[in-house]
Amino acid sequence: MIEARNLTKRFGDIIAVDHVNATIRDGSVFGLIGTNGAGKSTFLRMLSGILKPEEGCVTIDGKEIFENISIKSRFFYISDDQYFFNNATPEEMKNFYQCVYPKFDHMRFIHLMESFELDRRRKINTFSKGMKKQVSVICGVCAGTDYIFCDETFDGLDPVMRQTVKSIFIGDMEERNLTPIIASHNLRELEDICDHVGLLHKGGILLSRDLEDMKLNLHKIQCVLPSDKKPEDMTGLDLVKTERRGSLWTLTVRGSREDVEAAIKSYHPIFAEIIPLSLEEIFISETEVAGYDIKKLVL
Amino acid sequence: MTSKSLCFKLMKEDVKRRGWMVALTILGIAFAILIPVAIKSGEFMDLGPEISLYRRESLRNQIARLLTANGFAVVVLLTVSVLWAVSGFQYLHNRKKVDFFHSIPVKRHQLFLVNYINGIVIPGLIYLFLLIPSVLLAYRAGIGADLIGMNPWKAYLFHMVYYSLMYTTTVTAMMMTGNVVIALLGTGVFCGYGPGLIGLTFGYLGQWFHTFFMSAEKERQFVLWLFCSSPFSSYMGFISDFEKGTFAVFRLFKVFLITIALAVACCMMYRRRPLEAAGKAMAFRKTQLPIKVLLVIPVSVAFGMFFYILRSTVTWLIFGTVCGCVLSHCLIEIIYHFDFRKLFSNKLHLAACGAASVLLMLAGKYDWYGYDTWIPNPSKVESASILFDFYDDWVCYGQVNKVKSVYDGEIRYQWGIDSPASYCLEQMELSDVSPVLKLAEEGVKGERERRKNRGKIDYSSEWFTIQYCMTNGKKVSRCYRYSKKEGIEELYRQIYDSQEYKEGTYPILKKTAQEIVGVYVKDFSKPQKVEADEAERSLLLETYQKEWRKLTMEERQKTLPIGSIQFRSAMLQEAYEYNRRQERDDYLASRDYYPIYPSFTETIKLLNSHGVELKKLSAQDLSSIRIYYYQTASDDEMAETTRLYDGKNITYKEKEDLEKLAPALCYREFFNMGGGYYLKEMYHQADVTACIKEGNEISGCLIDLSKMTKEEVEHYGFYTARQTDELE
Repeated sequence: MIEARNLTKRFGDIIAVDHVNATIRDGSVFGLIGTNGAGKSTFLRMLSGILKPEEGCVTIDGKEIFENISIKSRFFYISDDQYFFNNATPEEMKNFYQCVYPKFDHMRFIHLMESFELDRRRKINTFSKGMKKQVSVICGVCAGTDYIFCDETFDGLDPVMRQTVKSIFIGDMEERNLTPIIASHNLRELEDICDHVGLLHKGGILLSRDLEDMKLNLHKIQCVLPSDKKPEDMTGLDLVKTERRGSLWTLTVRGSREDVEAAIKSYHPIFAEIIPLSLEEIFISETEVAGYDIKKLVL
Repeated sequence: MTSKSLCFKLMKEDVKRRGWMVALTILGIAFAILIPVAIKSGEFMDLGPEISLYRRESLRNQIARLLTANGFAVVVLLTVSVLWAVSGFQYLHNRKKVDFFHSIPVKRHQLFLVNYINGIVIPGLIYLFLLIPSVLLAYRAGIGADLIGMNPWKAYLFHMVYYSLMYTTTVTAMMMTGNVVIALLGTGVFCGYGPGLIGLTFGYLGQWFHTFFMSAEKERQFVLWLFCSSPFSSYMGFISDFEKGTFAVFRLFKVFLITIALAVACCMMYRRRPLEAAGKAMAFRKTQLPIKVLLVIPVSVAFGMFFYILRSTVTWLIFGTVCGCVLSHCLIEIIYHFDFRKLFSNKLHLAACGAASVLLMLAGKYDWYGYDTWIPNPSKVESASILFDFYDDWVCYGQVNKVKSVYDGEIRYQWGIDSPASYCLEQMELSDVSPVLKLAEEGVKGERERRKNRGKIDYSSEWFTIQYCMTNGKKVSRCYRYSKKEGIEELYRQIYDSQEYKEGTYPILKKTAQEIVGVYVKDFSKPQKVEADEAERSLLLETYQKEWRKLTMEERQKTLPIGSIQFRSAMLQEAYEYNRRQERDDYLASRDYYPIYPSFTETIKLLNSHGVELKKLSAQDLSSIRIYYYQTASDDEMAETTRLYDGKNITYKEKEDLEKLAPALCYREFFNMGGGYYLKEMYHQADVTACIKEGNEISGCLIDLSKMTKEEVEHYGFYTARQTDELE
């Protein structure tokens, strides 16, 4: 388990990460969401032991990460712009990673390179941005580490590759309890893979919840109410947001699905249906409660 | 995986990545050593029997030099040391690379060691592997062990030690900065700052401390500091010493220890280095201010001094200082922030640096240190020594040394020159310091006047130096300009006539009979050896020393020597014989002669008893006298210029002329030995050549005007610049 406590990092006068507390459970996918400059990369760089926090600490299974080789060998960090040696081929990069990651799976590397239709002996600097991302993901997956830290890794991958990578992650999570930590500024990228999300804004964490919890406690209802009724009259509902298009109301309400269904029935609507919430909608609702305009925070 | 095997694996990977550096190093060293040695060895082997020994020796020496103090190899090693350091640690200056290297499970000190060690071991192995065939090629060509010996291996050792130092210096710059260009500038600062600061300090002393005396000891110290102040200058100093045949193992060991210490410091900096510094100018914020101050103040002082040299006014002095301060401070701020608009950030620092620099300049200009006006309390002076730089410049200080060349093993003799100052100021102990202090007071007065009227009055270029030996054992020296005022000459005379002055000025008075193996005497003709045994030589030396001690300044002013004498040491005799055998020009044997005055009657008598007569030129010996007259400008022109025009030669052959001119002829060497300063006003400075009937010519003679009548002086058109009026 990764635990960040009071994690703070300053660059001169700028506070990049401001007293962040987060817990990342093993075997789940942690999504780190935030705008550019929110502190996602800094947070991941501290998680990777690249930067030393000025305050607080970040631990894996209770052990400090910074300059702790046994801990550092348990994760693989893919930066937003991964470095490859000058004129190196994927094969040469693999050779290097084999030196530093003892569990590096050579056979899997060859297999995945073939699956992704990437030439192992071609210079990486002739690859496209997306192909480079694929190489770094393949190296990361083959390193055999417990954690994989991905900084904007899905940015640049086409939808097919994105799904392929996600399925590789899911497969590894099942097989060897891999824990991917994925930072992105794009909510839609994380929607179908994350178990837990943390929203970073201006160096601080706005919220950190399990996606399922959020989905279970927040519902979107489309309904047509009798002409004498308005949503405000439905006092039994914990309304978060209301929208009206003609006679069709869209309500966002908090509470368990059963309670919400029961409450809405009691008001005898002409029509009522609970429809699924997108991650973006969940965030909008949650952050608006906290007084933030999510549309300004994330895409 | 053990950290040891991981290190080796990482080193291997690093070498793979830096293959271009390996290739560049091989090429550089091959072109600097192996290929030139191969070319020269081939050339040497092809030399036919008709080729001169000199040519052979020259080629042999060239090959030996290529294997040791090879200038091109030094340039290559310095260049590759910088390149290995930059290529090894440039990843620290790039965020992408930093993220990559520091996220992998390798300890930072291991990463440092891998890169650091590779940067020394790989070039070291390349150098060694290319040196071995080079040495073998030299041996194959017949350049024997006598010439090569251990020298290439010694050279390998010191080149590699200095390579490591230069490499570690660049690594230090890489650690302290976040940008390769700034790191290269930093390396330049590390290499140039020390010598620059020492030069500036001595420049400052020379500019403002007018009575500062640069003794040989201070000069030695200056050179020593210069060689210790930077890796580059230290390297150059070591090569220079190696070429002279010195292999300073202890010094090399010290350099090695410094390199180790620097490497440890680099490792610590690496560990503490904030990785977000990648791309910034400086890695550590705390170093910014001290580095800025250490650069801005010396630059400001240098600018101030430069402008003061151009125009000696306080306005220009302050302008220069402020200008230097603003320019350097702004430049550093721009570099620190990588932003031109930040040139005036930290105005407080700028003001503080400017104020400190101006203060330094004004303190020098107005002697706020009180250095130039300092005169010691007489009760605190134990003894003093004094050196008049315009007296007796013919006296030889030092001795002959035998030197064996490190390249060809050839013996050479050379005069190991001691400066008059180092001899006189150290040897002399004037117990009566009152005339010395009075002279110092006059010197201080002159100095005050000079400070007031800088650039407006011409001052004498003659100096005298005083060294006080204080009661606390400290030695303090001051150097003053000579001013010919009334009463001052009397002080000089008083000092000159003391035995202590002579003992401390003339090395002949310290010579013992055991040191000398021969006595030689010169008049206007060639030197002649005095045939004397050891006891006779001893008596001659004692007699000469006694009469020299009695010699007064008054006598030296009024009479000229009639000959000169040399008490030859065993080493000088050895050098003389060696050079004669080798058919080399022997300039050494003509040195260390002392004048014989007419008052040295006992010496002359002893010389006569050994059959040596000191002849004087007479009209009968001469066939002609040729005088070269300089044509001077007209009086009006003289007012504006002292330029001399081409003159003309007049040859006097008539007996009447020869009889008038011969008694006044002076041999220039004796004239100079007479302490030329006092006597020059009495002599015509024209170029006179006496042609002897036997066929020889004695050039560079002078005419003693006191031995001619006024009419004769006018008839022959003689004059002296200062006394023409007096003669008239």
